[in-house]
Amino acid sequence: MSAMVEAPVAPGARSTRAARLAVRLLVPLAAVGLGLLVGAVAILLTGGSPIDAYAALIRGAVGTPSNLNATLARAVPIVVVGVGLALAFRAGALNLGGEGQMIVAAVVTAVVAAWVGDLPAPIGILVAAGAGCLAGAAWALGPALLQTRFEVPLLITTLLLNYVGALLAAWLVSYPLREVGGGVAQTPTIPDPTQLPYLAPGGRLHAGVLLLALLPLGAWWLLGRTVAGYEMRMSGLNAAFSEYGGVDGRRTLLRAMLLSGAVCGLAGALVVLGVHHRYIDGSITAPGYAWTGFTAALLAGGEPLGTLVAGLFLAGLQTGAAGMERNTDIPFQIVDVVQACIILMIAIRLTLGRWLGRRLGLT
Amino acid sequence: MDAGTILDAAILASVVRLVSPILLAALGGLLTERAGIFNVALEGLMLTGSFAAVVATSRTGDPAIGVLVAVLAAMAVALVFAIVVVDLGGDAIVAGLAINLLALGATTFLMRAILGVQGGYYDPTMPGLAAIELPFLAQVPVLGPMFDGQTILVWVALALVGVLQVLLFHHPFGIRLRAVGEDPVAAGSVGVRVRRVQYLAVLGSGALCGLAGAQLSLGIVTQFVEGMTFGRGFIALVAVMFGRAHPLGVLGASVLFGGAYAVAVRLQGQGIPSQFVNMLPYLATIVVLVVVYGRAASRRRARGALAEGPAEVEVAT
Repeated sequence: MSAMVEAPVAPGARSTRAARLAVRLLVPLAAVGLGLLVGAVAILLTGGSPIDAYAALIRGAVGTPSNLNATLARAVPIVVVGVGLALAFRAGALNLGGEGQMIVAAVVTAVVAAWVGDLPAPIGILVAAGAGCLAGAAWALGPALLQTRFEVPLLITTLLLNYVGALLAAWLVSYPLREVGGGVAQTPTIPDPTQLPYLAPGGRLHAGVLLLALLPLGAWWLLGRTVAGYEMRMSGLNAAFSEYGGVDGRRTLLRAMLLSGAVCGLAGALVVLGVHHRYIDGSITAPGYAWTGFTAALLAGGEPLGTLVAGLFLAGLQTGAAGMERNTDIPFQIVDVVQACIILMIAIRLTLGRWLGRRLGLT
Repeated sequence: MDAGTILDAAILASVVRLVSPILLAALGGLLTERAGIFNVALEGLMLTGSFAAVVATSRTGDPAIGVLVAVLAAMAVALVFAIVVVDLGGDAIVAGLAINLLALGATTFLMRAILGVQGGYYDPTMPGLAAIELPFLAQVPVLGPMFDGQTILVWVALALVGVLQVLLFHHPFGIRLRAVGEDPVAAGSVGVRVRRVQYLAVLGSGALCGLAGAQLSLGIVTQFVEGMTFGRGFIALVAVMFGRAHPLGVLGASVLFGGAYAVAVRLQGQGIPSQFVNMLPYLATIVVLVVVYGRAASRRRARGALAEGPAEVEVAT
């Protein structure tokens, strides 16, 4: 690829490349713009001022260092689960089970962290996070096997397993794993050495934020620079053609789903190790981490670095909305509506992008 | 615990009650499936119906208006889905998931904006759908306890099975609908207005999901809880697949999945934690998927073996 960039190109080719990039950026930006527009209309309908509301939202997202830290911390699970889902999407596997994979991983992480509390700090954290990854991968393995063995559509089994995961976790923390004497369905606090250290005062920005930089880069390298990643992408673009070219489609799908589940599991582990230091029933579902990550991955068209950008934006939208609610009485759930509208626009984009591309003679 | 304690008269009534929302949503899914649209949005349409039913009933005190508003609200959301999928050529799966998230976000938002509460809305003075007492039926051994005291929507659901059976196979619209689902280009070439048929199918599925939602929030319980459909729409979607998009088949599949809910409720009564037994319908649905697709896959494999394999295989079968 880089050789192609370095090679002398006709001036027309370069402008085509710029135009193509513009089209690729234009459509997600239009989706976001239209989503915010729908949100503004909803705010108007409930008697608020969209300008005041969005100003309060921006202040709430990035207005103070503390708010910015909150946004970055919020972005961690969103971007990680988004990248996890993107890996599956690029391989043509519609993994809609990010939520279940996160939940199961979070519970397992909380349990394992309690066991390894005696290990020195980084090792205990790594073991607990690794256990979370394994749990996430295990939760994704079932649907993957059902798809490769029996051709049961993965998108439905992963969706259904979200509910099974949520109920299983609710049962576990209500009975066998419940904190003794606690009024809430939650596990006991994990030992100090297994808690991710804070990078800034105020107790929000935990060390997991480093993954915001590392994970998307790693995924970008995997997809763009390795044979396994190439096989995943080819399989996702055209399963029959890549099979013809010698790619084992089943193995690739299985590998992509295990990887995707592991990364989604990591997102769940980070919520336990970095945010709550325990598993609280509903702590994954209520903030909607997995579906926000899903939106980020879709906005970015499955590009890991784009998922980072989209995830940061959506995280800002959510922390900003909490600030907006404090200042303007507009319920923060308005951003859920905005986010759903963004996905709706992306659903259209899949056609619109193609149409624009054809119109401009790019494809 | 023996089978007798699980399968008694009370559970039969509970099965009928719990089957009805699944059945109504699945019949909606049947319409879109027959029109060639994969409708993941059933979940969100149903949730819209549940919410609208409770809001309208709490405002007017009349559950009949609640049901009507539920149908209209779900149809309005279905219209958005139809515009995106039918007219703008949007991806049906992505659009369906967006509708689900939209319904979840909008109902939570509106619950706070309109009703001023969070998490759930319960008003003890709000009437639910009336139980229809049938003295003549109550005497009949099995059918009596099953159908006596059910809501009007249970009867509507059962009637719709017959209506759709006739509509699909004995009415010109059904023939057009199936033609569009089979091959929209071919259907269009003989003069079927493909987009109109698809619009009607999506709007119809919206109306049926509205009824399903109303039965959930005004029939089975009398309250609205955030995300209260909790995957029932997806289970209904599987019921459509398992029932091969055939009204009677969908009825059978819905009874199976609704039965799993009823067993879960019963086991809960036996002291088993609700979170644990509530997994049952989802696990049952996954098992059914494996059976359906597993059989199809092995049939395909067998056919593949016949096509490629040596002659003696053919003789052996």
